[in-house]
Amino acid sequence: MTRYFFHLSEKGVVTEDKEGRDLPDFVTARHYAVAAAREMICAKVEDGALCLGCHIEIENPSSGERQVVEFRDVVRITGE
Amino acid sequence: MADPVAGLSLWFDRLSLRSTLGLAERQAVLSLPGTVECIRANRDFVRLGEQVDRSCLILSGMAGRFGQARSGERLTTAIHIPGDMADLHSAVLPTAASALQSIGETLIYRVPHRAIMNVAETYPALAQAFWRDCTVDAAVLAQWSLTNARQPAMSRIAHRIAELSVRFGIGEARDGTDFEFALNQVQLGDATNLTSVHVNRMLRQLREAGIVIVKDQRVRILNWQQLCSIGEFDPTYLHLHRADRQSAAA
Repeated sequence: MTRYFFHLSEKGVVTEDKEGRDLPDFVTARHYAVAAAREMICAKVEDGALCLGCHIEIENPSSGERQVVEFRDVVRITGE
Repeated sequence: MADPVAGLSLWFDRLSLRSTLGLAERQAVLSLPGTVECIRANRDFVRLGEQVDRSCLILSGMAGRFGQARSGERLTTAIHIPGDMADLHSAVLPTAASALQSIGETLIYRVPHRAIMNVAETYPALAQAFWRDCTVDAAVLAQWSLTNARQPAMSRIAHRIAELSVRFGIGEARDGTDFEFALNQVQLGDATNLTSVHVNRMLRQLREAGIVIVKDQRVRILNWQQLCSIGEFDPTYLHLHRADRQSAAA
């Protein structure tokens, strides 16, 4: 298991993850970030708002690897 | 708290919040036999489907009761603190329908079901107290189901923190209340059906609003009224009073 950190960025406001979560690999960490992004999008929509400009940065401090999951990339928008 | 008598005493005090019990009942509870076990962090000490012949009293640390989907995803359905007999119900239903996992290093005292049944048969007031204890566990589960299904993320988290504040303080919490809180973001998420990223976001907002600080495994309440308001927390379901007197008067 590796500890991954998930830093949330909302229009410049960063919620730093100081605890992280142990997961088997980066693919699983990315799946988790996608699920988290969708969950927070749903919560916003329930409040009557939708912001797709946020992102989650996944960090693996032991390897230095970082990846960004953009909110706009985790939903398929149709009917516009 | 490695001393089982101290843990049993705490459990007896908790039972006494909801039932009228005397010295004989106290002595019977304090004399319950058992074995102390130290459980490392995040270990299942009662597994799903396991046949158990002992119930687990939490002496120190915390434990979560959980259900698990086929995918392995878990949902915590109760959090037990020192002085809780986490699976008292197993004395009458020994097949574990929900499992128990340590949250941080946890000391438990495993009490044989036979001993629990013996004191319940000898002391009817204790039997009623045990029954009430299990009923309150069910009431907590019902409340959690409601909040997780019907309330937004911040409200769920505020509710859990408020509930634990009251349970640790045995009925009292106020501005400045401070207590040890072993749950990390992932575990708090498992208890609120949220991802840890979402939990972290909500904890930041609660902190910045001057309501509660969760940091370094401690909770510090800054604004108790606001916390209860956001969490729609009303402690009535915890029945932290002499319930049997109420029912006798009715």
